[in-house]
Amino acid sequence: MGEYSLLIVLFAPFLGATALVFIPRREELLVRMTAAISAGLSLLASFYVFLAYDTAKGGFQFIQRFAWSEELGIAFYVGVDGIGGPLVFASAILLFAGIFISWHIKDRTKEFYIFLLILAAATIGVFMSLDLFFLYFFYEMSVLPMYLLLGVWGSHTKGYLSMNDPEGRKLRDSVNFIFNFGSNSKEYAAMKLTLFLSAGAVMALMGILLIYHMSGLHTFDILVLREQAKFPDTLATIIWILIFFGFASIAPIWPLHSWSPVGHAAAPAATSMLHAGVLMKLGHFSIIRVAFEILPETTRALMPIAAVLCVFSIIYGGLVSYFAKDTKYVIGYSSSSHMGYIFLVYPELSFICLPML
Amino acid sequence: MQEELSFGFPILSFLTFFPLLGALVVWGMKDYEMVRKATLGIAGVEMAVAAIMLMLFVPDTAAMQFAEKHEWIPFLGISFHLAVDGVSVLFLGLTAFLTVLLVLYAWDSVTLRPKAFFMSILALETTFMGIFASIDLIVFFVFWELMLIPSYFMIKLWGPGKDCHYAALKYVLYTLMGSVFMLVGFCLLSLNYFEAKQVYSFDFIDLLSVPISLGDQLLIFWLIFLGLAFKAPVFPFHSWFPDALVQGPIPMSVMFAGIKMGTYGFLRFSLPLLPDASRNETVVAILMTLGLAAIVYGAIVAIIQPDFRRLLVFSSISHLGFVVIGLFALNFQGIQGSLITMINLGFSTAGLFFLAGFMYERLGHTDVRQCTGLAKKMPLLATFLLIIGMASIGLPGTNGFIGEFLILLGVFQAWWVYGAIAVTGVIFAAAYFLWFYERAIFGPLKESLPAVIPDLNTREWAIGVSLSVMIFWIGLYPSPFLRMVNGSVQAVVERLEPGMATAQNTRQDRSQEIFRN
Repeated sequence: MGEYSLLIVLFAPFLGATALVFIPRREELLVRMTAAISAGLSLLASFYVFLAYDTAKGGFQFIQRFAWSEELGIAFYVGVDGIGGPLVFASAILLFAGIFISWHIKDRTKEFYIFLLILAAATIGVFMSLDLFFLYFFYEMSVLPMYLLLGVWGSHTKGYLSMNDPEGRKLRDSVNFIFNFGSNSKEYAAMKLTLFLSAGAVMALMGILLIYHMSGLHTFDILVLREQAKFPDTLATIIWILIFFGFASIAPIWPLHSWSPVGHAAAPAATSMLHAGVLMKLGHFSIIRVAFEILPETTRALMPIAAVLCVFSIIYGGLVSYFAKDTKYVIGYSSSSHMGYIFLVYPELSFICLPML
Repeated sequence: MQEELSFGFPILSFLTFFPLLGALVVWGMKDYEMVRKATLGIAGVEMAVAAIMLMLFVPDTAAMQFAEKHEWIPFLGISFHLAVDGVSVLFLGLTAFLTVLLVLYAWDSVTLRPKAFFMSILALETTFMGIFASIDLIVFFVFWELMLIPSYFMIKLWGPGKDCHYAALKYVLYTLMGSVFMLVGFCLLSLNYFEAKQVYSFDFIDLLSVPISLGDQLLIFWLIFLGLAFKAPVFPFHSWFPDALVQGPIPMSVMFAGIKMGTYGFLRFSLPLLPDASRNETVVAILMTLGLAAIVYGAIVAIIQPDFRRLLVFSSISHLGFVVIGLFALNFQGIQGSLITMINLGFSTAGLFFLAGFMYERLGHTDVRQCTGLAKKMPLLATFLLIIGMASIGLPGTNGFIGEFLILLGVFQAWWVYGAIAVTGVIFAAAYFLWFYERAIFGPLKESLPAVIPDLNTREWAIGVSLSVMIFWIGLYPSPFLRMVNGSVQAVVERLEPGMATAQNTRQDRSQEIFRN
């Protein structure tokens, strides 16, 4: 039983979301209970993983591996180490809390819970993937539901209602509306978030594909790549930059942070929580898992760049949040400032700093 | 030389001509109720036979299977030669599957001349089956041209748009213009065979065995390219496509958007028959550029379309760009990904057209400015739109992701710069579909909408469910489908390796000489 706990953590929310599809929307209590029970199951299992993780032994534990495509070298391969385990636990806690904090949502409760469960499950999936393909798989899956969570259940920020075009119509259907920096609408926030994060995701995908192709090992297995992959210097730099900036967009690091404050301000509370709590860590975690573990020397060489950007993030985020008036903006900018600290510890690359995650 | 496996029962002839026979039977019927039940029965039997064929198909081999060959015009070397391999077998299944759904779709919704409409659908199925099953170039060409007849009348007679006559004519003229060049290309191939062997042949298997000089290959490649590019449609030959798909009836849009004959033609004929031309740097650069232009252009135009059907048309052009760059990555993953993506589009893009049709039937238009907040009225439609739409933008877990991932993997192995441009299409796809979905489905309810809009009925629900099942099946467990195509894709890739095609030919020539001595 114990060794399957990771699968329970991962699939309980997915199954919950699938079950919700078939529950009629009238049964509001049943909808909420289904979501809560599946999140609870996931939480229990992740708590077990957290407790039962053998710290003395270390390394990857609770490993499950199922071959998925032999000829491409893709396997559904999950396991947690000391970095992934606590993050899985944290995501499960926030999912469980998020379900109760949005208990009052009356508007399309069922769809809200479906997207929330998928978002959280995908996040959990990233934290336990030991296969680059599935890491990207879950990463991308966590980005797309965000658009709908923001665009549908989010709230407009100030100034939205007074926005009209010259003829007095609401600008809802014009393209300017989502690409207009001043529009403050939730659609703008959602679209900005989606574009930034999918652009980041595809950059990371390019890095992953380069790793797969250039290593010549024909495997997406992180543990094998970590031991055996060797790249020439220039190539390693390119890959590192793609992976770092791709994943850093969700972290978010200056200057890729600008989706985050508007996103925070527009998002519903539960999404904001998940966002600040775990989604941003997807970036750091993926950077550690992919860039640091597979390209350690390059990481050492290029870390000064990251350090400079982090200092910018910290100071800039701090200053803006000092002057911001909207509470959610304050939280948004301050969390991007905090995220900067986490990046700042990387350059040390020391044992003591990583647990600050 | 490709191995051929024959099969006791002429299953491919049956698949090709059974719908046509069915259409004749339906012709004789008077009662409307009987007509549609008979049509559904015929499509169902066809589907069952196609499913049996897929089950009997031997995976992981490049062999031509279920082969049957009958003399037709011997002195020109034209024979009625039907066979399927991994490249074509899935298309037969897809055609049969979509036809059943089309009949279900048209069950109540066609009021004008319903008998003729059902006959057209069956005739269309015959031509599609013929295109995918025939490996004689002339037989292929005959079916390719025959397809124009039912599709022209479907657009012209049942098109809901004002300009359907114009759209039908434009479609026929464009396609004919391209296919004339294609026929010239086929004849040149046969002449080349004549020079080597002193007999004519249009048989794909025969043509594979003679070498062609690079200059001829390039000429023939571009001639065939014109025919296929108009049909596919490859950017910038796409201008008939929005007209035909928006003005024509939904079943026609589903077939055009879902079944990618043009790019199938590249994989079936251009790549194996003309490997040196396909590998030529200029050709690859041009095709890659066209593919990338299609991806970016289609996606950007799709963002600003207020009409759902036009949005789908341009998203379909964008997806086709992915298929083209995957094919001309010229490696295993790229071609495999293209092939799987072509099949995927038959579930995702075609599925979205079905849903557009459901919206059209209820509202009389698909303009997002006039219909917002549909989730309140039609929750089932909203659910299916989300599932199929997510497949179309490639959410992990759906079939779209598998195809896109394989294509990008292949393109990255070949030329990573092209891959870097192609990934922008993934970002834009998320932008246009999610924005549309958020407005049409979740936005505030529009007052001008009718007070009561019925949600999907059982028939429409069945269409949505069967598409969703296929989407998740390929998305989560693609191995059976990949194994079916692997052998043939491998054979194509081997022919594309420098010197491979000629080496095979000389070896074979020598063995034939030994045999003659």
